[in-house]
Amino acid sequence: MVPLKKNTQISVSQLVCLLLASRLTTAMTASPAGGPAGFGSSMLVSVVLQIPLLLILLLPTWWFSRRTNRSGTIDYAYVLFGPKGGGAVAALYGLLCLVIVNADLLRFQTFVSVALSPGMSRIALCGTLVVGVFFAASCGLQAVARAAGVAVVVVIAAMVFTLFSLLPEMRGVHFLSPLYDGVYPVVEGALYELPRSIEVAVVGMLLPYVRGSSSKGYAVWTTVLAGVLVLMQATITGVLGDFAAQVRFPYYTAVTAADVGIIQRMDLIAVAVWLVVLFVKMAFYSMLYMSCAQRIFGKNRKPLYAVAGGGTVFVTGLSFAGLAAQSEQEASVPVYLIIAGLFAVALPLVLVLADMVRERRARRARA
Amino acid sequence: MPSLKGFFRSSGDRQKAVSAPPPPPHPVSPVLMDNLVYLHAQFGVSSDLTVREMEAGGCKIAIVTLEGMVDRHTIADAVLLPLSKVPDMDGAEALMSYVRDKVLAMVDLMQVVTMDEVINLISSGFAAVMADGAAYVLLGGFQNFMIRGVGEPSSEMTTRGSREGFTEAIRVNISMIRRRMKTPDLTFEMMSAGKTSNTAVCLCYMRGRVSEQLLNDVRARIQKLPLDVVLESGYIQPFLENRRLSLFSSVGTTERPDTLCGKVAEGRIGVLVDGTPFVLITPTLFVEHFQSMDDYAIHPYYASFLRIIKYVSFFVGMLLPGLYVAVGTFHPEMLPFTLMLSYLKSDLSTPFPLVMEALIIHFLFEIMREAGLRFPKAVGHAVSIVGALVIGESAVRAGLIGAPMVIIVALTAISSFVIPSLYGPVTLLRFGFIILGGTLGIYGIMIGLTLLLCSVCAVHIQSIPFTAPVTPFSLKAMRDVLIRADWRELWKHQFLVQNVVGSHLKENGTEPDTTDPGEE
Repeated sequence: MVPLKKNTQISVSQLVCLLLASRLTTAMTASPAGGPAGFGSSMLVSVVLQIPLLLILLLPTWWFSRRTNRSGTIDYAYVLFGPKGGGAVAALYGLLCLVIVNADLLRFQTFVSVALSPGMSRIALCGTLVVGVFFAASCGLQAVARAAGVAVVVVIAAMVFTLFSLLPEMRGVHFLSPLYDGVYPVVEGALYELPRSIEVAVVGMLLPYVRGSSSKGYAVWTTVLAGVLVLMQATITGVLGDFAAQVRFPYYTAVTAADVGIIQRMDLIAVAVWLVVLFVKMAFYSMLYMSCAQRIFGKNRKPLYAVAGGGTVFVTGLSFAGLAAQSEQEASVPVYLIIAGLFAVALPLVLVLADMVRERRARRARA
Repeated sequence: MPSLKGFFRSSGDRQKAVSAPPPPPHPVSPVLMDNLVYLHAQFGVSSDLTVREMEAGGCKIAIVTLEGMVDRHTIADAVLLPLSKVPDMDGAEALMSYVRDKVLAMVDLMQVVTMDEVINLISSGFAAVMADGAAYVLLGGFQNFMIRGVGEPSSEMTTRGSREGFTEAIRVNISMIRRRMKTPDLTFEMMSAGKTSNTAVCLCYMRGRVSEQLLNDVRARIQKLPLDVVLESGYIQPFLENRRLSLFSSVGTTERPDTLCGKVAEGRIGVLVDGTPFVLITPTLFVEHFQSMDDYAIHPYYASFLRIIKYVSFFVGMLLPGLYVAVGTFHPEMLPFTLMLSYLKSDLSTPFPLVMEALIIHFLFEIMREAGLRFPKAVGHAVSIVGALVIGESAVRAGLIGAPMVIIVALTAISSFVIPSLYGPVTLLRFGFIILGGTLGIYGIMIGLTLLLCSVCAVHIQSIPFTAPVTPFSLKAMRDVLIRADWRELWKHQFLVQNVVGSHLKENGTEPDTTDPGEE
């Protein structure tokens, strides 16, 4: 097991930035395909409603954290189940991280090389992105977390700028009552938004890497997230109204309506900013994958893990690109909900139960 | 060329380089002839070794110097003449005591017992007095080698403030610092670097302000230097850094004593190296590249404006050609219609693709800059004129390059000279961004920029992040980062580099572990 040192830790605010960067990547390219039909005013409430649901989803991890004095799920799996069990948990996490990186590469291909610039070489684009991401991942958690801080500020500033530049295009009539179609679309929207916060799955693994109060961090994250998502939904709803449900990438479509004078294509600026958070997100999960690989196979041979992970993501990303259209990705929302449930709820609960059993046995043995 | 096997080799294996233990020091022999034979053996046929043998006080003695390093007239008047008049003494010990107390009556008098120290000191302008029967050597400082006078620093010009810059002589540099900081806390710790060159290196810091942990780390790194010869501070610089694969250095340099004093007062360590006017400063934060001595001497509003100019220049110098190539090649619709028309007109009249055009012209510019820098000043001006005429006029008229590209090159060149300390990284990155922009458009630029951000964020010295206080962020520190606040504000909070946000130095006294999960 690789011992964790105090100085490898990141602050709570950096954790918040990492989680926000990760979530904003998904939010900016969220598509109504496969999701709830109402992508209008009801989503303004849905994105807020998902916050308590997110916090509920984080409860088992919080309980686990309190019980184990902020041990990570992987660390504790090693303690409870030995090298084999711990290794299996680390392998699952590593696989999850690779799947997330792969999904983001697919998203990148769908969005950039299919929707925006079809003439560009997919291999060159994806190759550069994957090499860059795994190099950035080799810089370590602190580097990626620091970069996430800058990325989040840039993306939020760009969103606010976009909102202001889109004000002339917004129509008040688009803002209907959120409950115009009843409560069902609001709840359904919240449930569909929930698995887009897949980062809850790795929160348990990150616990020992964070300095400060993690609970406070999650509270700040969810609050800021709600604010940013409301900002984004307001932009979409104000510009597109119910038409948002008919387009592939509502936020991108809304941004194309902006007219900033000298910059003729504001949407390209939005895409550029989105790329920053996407890169940070992919680097973050790649770094976690490499950390898991180090746990299982030892600390040495880090470049080998990077090459293996990068190669796998690149090959699978290119191979599945033709099959996995954006709609199919979005249709996999329930799959993500199951994954999030497994890692954020089931795993911490299993570890806590195993710990309780071990404690009871130890007490009996002493008696 | 490193093999693929070497690339995958573990970091532990890589650190197992075995260094031979240093040979034991050669002691001074009580037999004078033995010492002289040893010296001749060490210096070989070197013509500058001067040995003056004579008899004084009934003993055979020798005065050893290196020609050109000492003041011969002073030695003749202050050493040789008094020695010739020494009365008969009771043995070598008595003679050496007499020489120590009556002849070499000077401040920098040294008594050493090894021949290695003798060689080191006579190489620094000391005169060695050896006596037959004494197992030690007396050395007095008679330095009189030629040094360049104190002049204005060439790389850090200011409109206000001192005109003094460091010189090549380390002692002169020390005196320039001491003259500005009249406090006993200011410490100069002499060391040597380079197994063969034995170059004098001096650590300059303020006791009570510097972090002991940081100081020990710098000290250990210099002591462990594997270099044979050290001729410039740039030789030592990479050994003080933590990250090899970074374009940016967390060790800064200065030619100005006032800048060094300011940095030392903030808990940093200066590393002076004999033979160079460039002093190393560690740790240096990224934002410090955008600060200059002038900022603190002029009006804060104007200084803040200059800061913004510097930040903009940095990004323009690095990104403008790449962005132009990206937009021109892949997204011309981003440009306003009239600008797009003039771009298209110029593009149609030139034979090369935009990316090639940009690469060629920037490469030519760098050749001319380098030529102008190395040539004597008069010829350098001629090179600049030829460059301006050839590239600016003839190439556009011949239709080899477009006029907008010339404007881009000129803007980029001027912007990159605004921050001289970042010229190297900015130039390399500019070429990288041109290639990325020319092959992958704006997406390539953004991927490169974010990768650069992560790479810069990975640089640290002893857990002090290079990117602090921007990320990790500190609002309080912004008064001297984004803007330059008034001195009435700045003096209120004493800034110490170990207290910067994200640093662990203030938290614990133990050696920190800077390994990071996944870090290379």
